[in-house]
Parts: sequence; C-alpha cells; structure tokens
Amino acid sequence: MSVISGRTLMGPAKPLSLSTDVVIVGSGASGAVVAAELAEAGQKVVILEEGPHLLPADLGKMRPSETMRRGWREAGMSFTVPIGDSPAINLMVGRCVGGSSVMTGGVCFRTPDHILHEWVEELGLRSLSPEAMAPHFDEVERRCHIELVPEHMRSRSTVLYGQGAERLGYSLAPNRRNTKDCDGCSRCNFGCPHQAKWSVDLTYLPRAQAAGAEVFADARVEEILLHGDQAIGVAGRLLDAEGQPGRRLVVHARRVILACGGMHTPRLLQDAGIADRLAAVGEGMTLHPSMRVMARFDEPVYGWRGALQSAHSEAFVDERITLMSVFVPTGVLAATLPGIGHSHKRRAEMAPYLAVFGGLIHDDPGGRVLSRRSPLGLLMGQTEPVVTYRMSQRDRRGVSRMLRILAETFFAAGAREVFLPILGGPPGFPEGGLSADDLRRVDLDRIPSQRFECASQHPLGSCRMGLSSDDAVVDEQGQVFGLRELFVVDSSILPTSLGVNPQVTVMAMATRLSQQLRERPLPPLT
Amino acid sequence: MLPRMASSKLVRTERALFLFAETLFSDHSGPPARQRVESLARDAVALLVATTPRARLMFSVCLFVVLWVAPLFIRRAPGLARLPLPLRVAALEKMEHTAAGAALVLAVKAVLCILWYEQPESVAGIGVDPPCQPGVRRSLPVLSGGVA
Repeated sequence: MSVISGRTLMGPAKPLSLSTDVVIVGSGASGAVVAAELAEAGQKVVILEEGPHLLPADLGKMRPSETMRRGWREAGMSFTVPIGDSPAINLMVGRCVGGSSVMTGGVCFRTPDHILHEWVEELGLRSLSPEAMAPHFDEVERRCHIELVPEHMRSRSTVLYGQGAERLGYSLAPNRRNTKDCDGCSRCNFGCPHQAKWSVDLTYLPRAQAAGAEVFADARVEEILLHGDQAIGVAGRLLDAEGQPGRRLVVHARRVILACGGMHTPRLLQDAGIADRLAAVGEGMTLHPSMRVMARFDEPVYGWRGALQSAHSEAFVDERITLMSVFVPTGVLAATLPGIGHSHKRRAEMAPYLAVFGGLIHDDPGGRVLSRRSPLGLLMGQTEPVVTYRMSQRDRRGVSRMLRILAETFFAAGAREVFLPILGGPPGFPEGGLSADDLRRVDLDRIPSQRFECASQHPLGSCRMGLSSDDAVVDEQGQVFGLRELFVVDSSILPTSLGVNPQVTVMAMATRLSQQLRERPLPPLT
Repeated sequence: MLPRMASSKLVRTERALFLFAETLFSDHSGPPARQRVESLARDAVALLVATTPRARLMFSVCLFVVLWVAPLFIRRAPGLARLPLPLRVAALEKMEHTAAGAALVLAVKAVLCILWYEQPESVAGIGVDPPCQPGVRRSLPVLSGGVA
C-alpha cells in the first residue's frame, strides 16, 4: 500500500468520489494518530493531505529553500497582521504528509501539570487531569521514541549559553526529542534526511496504512458536507504538481474529523457557516511568539554543529517565558545582521563566531483567524486564512524581559556583542551590535513592537475545547457543538497556550479522543 | 489556488532581484559573477511562484518600494537602477538603518540570503560547513509513493 498522490488521479473530468467510515482532513501530528487508532480498530479510514509526500531521501536531496517551497505553507512566507502594538509574526507551518511534525526541531514536552490543573480547575475540563492524560503521554512517547538529548550533542552555542546561565544562577535542562541515532546536523526544520526524527510519517501513518487506511497527498479539502445538523463528508480538489487545483474530490463519510491545524480548521468551519452559530470559531488563538538573540564570541563557535534544539530552561516560567536552544540557517543569520555589500560580507563572515539562543512567550489569546467574508479576508484571505494578532501588554513586557535575559546571559558567557531581533537595530545603534554597556542603555519597553522580528510554529486554540458553546467550539469528546459526526482533534482545540512546544500535547489529546471515537458507534452512511 | 505570475511581471521581478542581489553581495572588488547573480534571481522567482498570490504581492511591494525609494535616503532621485554600485550600496545601507526601511529591506534580503548561502561556494566563503549529506541509515517503515 502506498500514499496516493492527487497528481496521479487528475485525468478524468468527473469527480473522484469515495465512500468511507471516517475521513480525516490533515495528516499531521493529530490526524496521523487518530488514523492509526481508528484503522487498527477496524474502521475504514481515508486521510486527505493538501501537501505533497516528501520521502526522507528526497528531503536530503533538496536545498532548504526547496523544502520551504514544497513542504511549508506559503513557502514559509506567512505573517500575522499586527493589531495595535504587536509584532508581525512569521507563521511557519508544515504542508506535507506528516504535517508540521516533519518540519519541527523534534522537541517534546508533556503538557506542564500547572496547565492541566488550570484546564481542570478553571475551565472544568475534568478529563484532562494529569492523571487522566498520563497514559496517553506514555503511549505517544513510546511510539515516537522520545529520548533525552545527551550533553555531547549540544552545540558549542548552547554550551556557551549554558555557561552564562550557570554564572547568573540558573541552568539548562536537556530537551527530550523524538529522535533515534541523530548525529546533529541541524537540518530538522527542513525535514530530517536521515530518518533520525520520528515524525508521524515514519511512525503513525505507516501503522494506519498497515491497518488499511488510505492516505491521499495533494488533495485539498475546501468544504465540509452537511446534511441538516450532521456532517456527511468533505469535498475539495486534487492538486497538480504545481499546486494548481484540478479534479474535484468528494468523500462521503460516516464521520468527519478535522486535523488541519490552528489556521485551517477554523477556516473550514467558517466556510461551512458554523462560525455563525459558534462565536468562538477562529477566536482566541495563541502563538507562542518566539525570538532569538545572536551573540559574537572571540572564539569560533560553529553553532550549527550539534543538535538543533538540545536544551532549555524553565527558570523563568513564572514570568511566562521558556528559553530554548536553537540555531538558524546561515542565510537567515546573514540576512538578519545589518549590512549591504562589503559590510554584509564582513558581517556574514562572523557566522562561525556567532552563538544563538531563543525563547518563547506563554502568551495570552491575542490571535484571530478571519473569515473569508470579513473585509480583510476578502482582500487578503481568499487563498490562505488571514490571522490577526494583538499582543497583550503582559506579553509585550515579557518580550523585553526575555530579550534582556538572553543578552545578559550571553555577556555572562563572555560574548563581545549581541544582536537583538530589532529591525533597523535598537534606537541609537543602527549597526545592530550592542556591548554590555550599550544593552544597559537600551530601553526595550519603548521600542514599537512592529520592529521586533518574531516567529511562531505553534498556532493553537482557535477552536478551543470547553463545556459550553458560548465560549468554545468542541466538547470534551472533540465534537463540534450542535453538529453530529463532526470532530476536531488538532492543535486548535487546546484551551490555552502551553508555554512549551505542543507536539506531544497534541498527539496525546488525539490519542485520548481517538480512543473515545473508537468506542462510539458510527451512523449509517448518508 | 496559485495563479501563475504573468511573464512580463516575472521578467520585471527577476531584473529587480538581480539589481538588489548584485548590490547586496558586492564587495570592494565589485559585484559577484554575473552568472551567479542571474541564477540567484531566477531561483528567487521560482520561490515566489511557489507561494501564494498575497505573499508574492507583499514581497513585490517590498522589493519595488525599496528599489524606488532607497536613493532618497542618500538625497538622490528615486530609482536605484540609475545609480552606480557604490551609491546603490550606500542607499540600501542607509535605508536598512531606519526603522521604517529595515523591514522592507529585510524581506528582500532574507529571501536572497537564504538562496545565496545554500550555494557551497557562498558558505565556504564565510567559513561555514556545507549542509549534511543525505543518507538513509535506518529501516523504519517508510510510506511508499512519495512524489518529490
């Protein structure tokens, strides 16, 4: 059995029509888990993925920019629209078989207990207690080979940062990642060419296939088919090699499961008119806004040698900040250092001497996925959803604090100068580089947020789970309020942001929901 | 979903990218080899074609505003193409040092740098290792039927 590409089914003019027990829209971290669980329970499963299927061997042959072109949504060029004093955030989301799990750094955290307690105690979601979720975390960790990154895998960049942290009285802890035999070539964000990262295209999807599930790549879902208050299937288009829509695709199903992520699940619900009765659709999205600071050392650092993301610090969790080791591709690194012509070359030649460390904000829900029919949606959102983001004042203060911590830690490690992610450089420092004294003179709180370079790989919570249709989209079983046989299982259902990378949370939630779905009788095909 | 760019627009964009790239990657000794810059501009256009119309539009706006407006920052008439290379460098540098101009310059610079520093001779020139070589070393049950 193999992945079926929509490209190979383009010929006939009449629609491709399929019937199945369950259709799953999206093949990423949540869709793959649900597909495997339901297929192994004997249900007939069809998985529809908009992006292509990229084999590990193909990923190895591609340049990073080719992976961006083929495997990232909008070739990595998606941005939020900032509202008020907020940064424009670069949204990087996978669009291929395996979804974002193929493009992550592989960092795996369980949902922090304090978050689960908040969901139970403040939101009343009793089924999400630490005790109830523990077996699902165990299951995911076993299936994905989650292991601690050994210290020898740390890049010199991370080691230096760790030394600075120790001098300032805090420490780094090793990350856990879904890897085996990783040799640390720092290519994770462009797909692992060595099969060392156990993304769901290597774990859950083959299980689903072995149990009879059919995986369609290059198959875009545009519409949820409804019969009264019951979902009865989906429709869309097969895509050709250039992503152009072709033959119509209709899948009739006894149950419809949306797993297309925080940006596209609300979009499908909005297009189906469901947002008209559920006000929370597309609202309250969180993004974990992420930034990184670069630091120049006298010694060569070669920061790309080692695991891309090997260590983190939870020392500032009380301030809603998680610090995370990271490195960035040479091209990005060179682009974000100021300079044109000779000055650019001079700066780019600093690359071997640069260390990088990042962090993310456990943010308030400031994001919104606009409907296609909204004014901005009409203007900019016909091919891809428009996401607006208003950063809260608390989070904005968190950004200043996080950048200062990162920079001071590098100075404690012996850095000569640091480069903050501020477009045009900090006020008074257009060349970008700051000494320790310069840093003390810069008031980060006074810099307009639009000048910060900021990214996110974690769009969460845009169709959140809750007890009531007044402020939520799905119930504790993942079923959309007021609609039969329509379920959401992806990152959009998370009730709040997590403050940590969400992959394991998403997969554990999907495991829990699929075990309930397995037991739930399927209606007859309509 | 992804309407193609008209060929005239493609040609215009490729020329504009060439001009920016030639300036960005120049040195005291002059611009890089013409062939390399042409190839880079073509590659950048291919990346733009693969994205969505709105991303292309945003990028094109950044590119053409930069090329038109940058000379104003060194008190010259608009139109970067009219300037000799040293003045082009000075204009873009000045613009990059401003809060308003930096975002526009970075948008174009990021795409070109990502593509430029994928080339082995470019990374070697700044002392960075070439990317790791592909190789499948384990035997996980890979899904078959990939279409790259």
